[in-house]
Amino acid sequence: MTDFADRPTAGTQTESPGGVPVVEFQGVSKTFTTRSGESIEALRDVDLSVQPGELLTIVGVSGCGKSTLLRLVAGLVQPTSGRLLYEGEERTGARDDLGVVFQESVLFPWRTVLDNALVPAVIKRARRAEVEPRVRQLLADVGLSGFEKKYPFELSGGMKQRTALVAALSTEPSVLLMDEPFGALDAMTREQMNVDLRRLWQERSNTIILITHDVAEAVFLGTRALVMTPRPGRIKADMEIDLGAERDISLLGTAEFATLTGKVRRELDMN
Amino acid sequence: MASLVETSRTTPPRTRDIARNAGLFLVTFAVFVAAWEGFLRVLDISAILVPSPSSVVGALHTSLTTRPTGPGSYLSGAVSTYAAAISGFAIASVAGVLVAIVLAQSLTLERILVPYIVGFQTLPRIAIAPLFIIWFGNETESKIILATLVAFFPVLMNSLAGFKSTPPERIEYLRTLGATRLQLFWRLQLPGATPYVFAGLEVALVFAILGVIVSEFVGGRRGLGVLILQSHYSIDVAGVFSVFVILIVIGLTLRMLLVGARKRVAFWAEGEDSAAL
Ligand SMILES: Nc1ncnc2c1ncn2[C@@H]1O[C@H](COP(=O)(O)OP(=O)(O)OP(=O)(O)O)[C@@H](O)[C@H]1O
Ligand SMILES: [Mg+2]
Repeated sequence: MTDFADRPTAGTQTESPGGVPVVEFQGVSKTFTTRSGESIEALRDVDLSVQPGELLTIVGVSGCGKSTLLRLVAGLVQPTSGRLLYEGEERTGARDDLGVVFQESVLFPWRTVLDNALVPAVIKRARRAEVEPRVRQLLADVGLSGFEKKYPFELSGGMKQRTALVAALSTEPSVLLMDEPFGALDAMTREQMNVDLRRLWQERSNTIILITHDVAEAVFLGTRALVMTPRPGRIKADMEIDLGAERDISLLGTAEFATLTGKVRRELDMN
Repeated sequence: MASLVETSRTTPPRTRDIARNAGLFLVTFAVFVAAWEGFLRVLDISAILVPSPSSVVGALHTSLTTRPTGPGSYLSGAVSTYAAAISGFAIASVAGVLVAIVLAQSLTLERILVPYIVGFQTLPRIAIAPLFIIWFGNETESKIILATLVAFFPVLMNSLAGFKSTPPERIEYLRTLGATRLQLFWRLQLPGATPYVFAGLEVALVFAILGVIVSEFVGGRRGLGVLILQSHYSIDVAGVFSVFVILIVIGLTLRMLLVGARKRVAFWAEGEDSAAL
């Protein structure tokens, strides 16, 4: 579709003109109070700035606060302390200008693939006629043409997550939040989804924040990877992933890839 | 571009299933009737206690031919009974769903009202039937009111459970899209609750018919319940059973209509078609 040679790649974003971070965490902490009254410190003192066009991946053990971090960005929960800036400004309330793909498929079982992909447009009261061609094109892009009229129960897990991804992209959000989107998929489907996601990201210029607990996924996808500590989650390591813009499945077998995954894994293990 | 070719699961041929189920039903029904007839003969049970299938069919035939229409006929009885039952069912369905919607919007409201609702529900509502005859007379109104009252609770409780069963991650998903409360309701809560609502409606249908028959027993002037009592008084057990046959046939038909509607509206919740009827 588009020429992606001129896209900013890893390492170049920080010097991009303007350089206002899409999302910025300034000393953000989040403590939950459970029903039984105890406090759970999910995140402690997180500083993070996400640059435009970045594909930021975040790895960490289960329960370390990854989803909480993403829910903060989405405005679904508020920080206990610290500040969250969007393009340099503070905002309150749920954000509706983001695309989200959650851990579990959130497809509506009573809607077809096409209608599920149109949910964001329906909620935002966009004109269907305007959005539908784009959505159909996106469905074709992720290999779902011919499945527009199928219902979620007629789809495989991978197809459901593709549909969720199309829905998230349908309103052309500048920031896409993905919380272990491929976590429930088998290894082969997941690799293919990773390749497809890279391609989709290169064809657009969204910023993506993707949570995963899979080190290979974090390295393969990311232009930058963060490693979090166990709860309370803090950012332990912040690595640029210099694997070039064009990545395909053969990358998984290379020495550079192994070195980088090794580095990330060591950071995770040192906790 | 298409990178993964995944095939969709195909649905099994439905017509073959239906044919097989119907065949199975006919066979078991024949066996059941034969066993019934056989037992009565072998054990020599008096026809005054339990009628044979053939005498039930005979009674049914006589009633339908000697008095096909007019007062006291099966037809007018069935019309009277089912008009009341369906009216009660309809009122209870609408009211039950509406009250459930209101209660689902506010936890406070639910906390205040549910104890009263549950308290009232523990009262066997059938026990109020004689009172209704006094209050509203022995005409259709009493029947409809009792049917409504007994059918209301299953609709309310099931619908409420349905509205409250909305998965929180779906609510959160719509919230990240900026959905309003109204959108959450129409786009998510309501469609998601339909399988529960239908489960309630299926119980309500049975309850509504039950309510009407009881009302007719207690003090009705027309209806199948009255016909049962009349046969009963003249110790015509085959006559009683022949009304049962009518009740079963119409009851099953109504239920099948309801199941058909459920399969169209809440098709996506059909895990397995366990209940054939
Ligand atoms: N609404 C909440 N109320 C109370 N505690 C919560 C809430 N949400 C999250 N937590 C707690 O915060 C911690 C971090 O949760 P979070 O869901 O962010 O973890 P995670 O890193 O996404 O885990 P996983 O990889 O298993 O998805 C957990 O201990 C969890 O129990
Ligand atoms: Mg999580």
